[in-house]
Amino acid sequence: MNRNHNMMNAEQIFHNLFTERYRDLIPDFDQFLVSLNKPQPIGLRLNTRFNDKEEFIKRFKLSSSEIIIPISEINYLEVPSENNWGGALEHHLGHYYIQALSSLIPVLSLNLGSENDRVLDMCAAPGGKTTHLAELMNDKGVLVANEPSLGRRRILKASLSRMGVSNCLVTMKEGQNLDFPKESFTHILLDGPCSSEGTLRAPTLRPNKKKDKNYLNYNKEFRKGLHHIQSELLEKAYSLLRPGGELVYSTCTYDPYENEKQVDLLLKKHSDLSLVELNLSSPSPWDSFLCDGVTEYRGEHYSSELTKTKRVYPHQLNSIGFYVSKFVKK
Amino acid sequence: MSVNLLKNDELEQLKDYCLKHYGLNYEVWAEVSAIKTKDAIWLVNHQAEAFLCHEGVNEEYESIGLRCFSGVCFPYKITDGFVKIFDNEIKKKKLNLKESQARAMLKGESIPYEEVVGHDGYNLLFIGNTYLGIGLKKGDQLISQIPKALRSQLAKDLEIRNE
Repeated sequence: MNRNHNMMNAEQIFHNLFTERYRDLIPDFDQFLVSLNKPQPIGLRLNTRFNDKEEFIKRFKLSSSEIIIPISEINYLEVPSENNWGGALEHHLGHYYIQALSSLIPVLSLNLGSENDRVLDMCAAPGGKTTHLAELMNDKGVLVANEPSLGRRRILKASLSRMGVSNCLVTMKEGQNLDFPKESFTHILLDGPCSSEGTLRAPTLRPNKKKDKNYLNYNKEFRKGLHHIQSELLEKAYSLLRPGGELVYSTCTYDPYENEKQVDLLLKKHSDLSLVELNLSSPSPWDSFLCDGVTEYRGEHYSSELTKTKRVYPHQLNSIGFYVSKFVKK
Repeated sequence: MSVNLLKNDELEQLKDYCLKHYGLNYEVWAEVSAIKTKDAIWLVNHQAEAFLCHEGVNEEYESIGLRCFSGVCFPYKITDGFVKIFDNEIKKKKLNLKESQARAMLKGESIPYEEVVGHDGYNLLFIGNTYLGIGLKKGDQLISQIPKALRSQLAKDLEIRNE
């Protein structure tokens, strides 16, 4: 009773906060609120080194009614949530990675596959995007995965080992303090630390979780600290990117101060950087699931170029909320 | 960690060992560089090795490619990384276990020598076509090297499949 009461409170508080901040920003806002109370689907990104999709479906006796594949061209399956996917032998063997569908977008946005690729994943743990990058690189080139937290780095290394990644070097610094020479990388993924609002969906919509508490408290200092770190990380990413290189900045939050505002500030600082459309296949099967980035929020105006960045909402793509932007350096 | 390329004579010794014990042809080494740290040998592609030795020299690394051997000298102890990187190229020391034997391995029990046909040293354990982990054949016993933290989870998974 008490637990249910707490949950109701937490849900209500989230709803109230989201309503106050995002009612005018998120399209079909009421549908958005409804989607937060629906459980997030379980999705697997199959490791193409070890299996193909059809074989996998047969092996796990998945019936077609259980498989929802909105994006048929990628090796991704939505699967029944009753199975213990994290405990299966194939998980241990690296045949798949349990991953939210929307978190594939930042990696798919990069043009990868040359032996000369020098790729940096600045905030790499737990390793879903890193192992996806390695797969798209066909284990060629160099992938540097950085993660400052010891605990999270352990998970990252376990993921890399489990998925059989052989082109990756793991570093352990705060991303903004990385010591590589300027312009070392052809591609940089900065999936930065954020307030993680996009992950606030059932069943994670619970009280007493640290990140939820941060959000519930709406701690201004916490948010301000995040903005500062995001800005420093973006600046470092810029300096490490080669001319002609690609930088993808993504977060799992809806907050324009962490998304469009950060992108806008970086654009204003560096005239040799420009925003480009995400490089998803054309015609993109993702189009109907993505919204353009915003150019105005609470009286602030951002560059019209920001419409090239994309937002993912759970009522449009049944996954977690995301924001993705892509730059190229001249 | 301090990083060194395996010296030529060390690499030749490793290649010979892998040919003799796992049937691994010399050609499969063409794609990888071997890096030695204090307690392991890691295999990484040549581009990453070049980056490590030239462009990324100022950074400290905690992991480099796949950790394929635990320990840096004879007798080499293979890891899951070795199995992942060479996969179908491995021709020897593959043990196909019966289900009861697989269960024993996952419980951390050893299997008496006469019940398995294998060779001394580290063997790859399979159940059907599926790789399960590594087992050490020592004296008259096959001893599970599957990480303890994974054993109960995998045993449970095996039970579910057989229901």
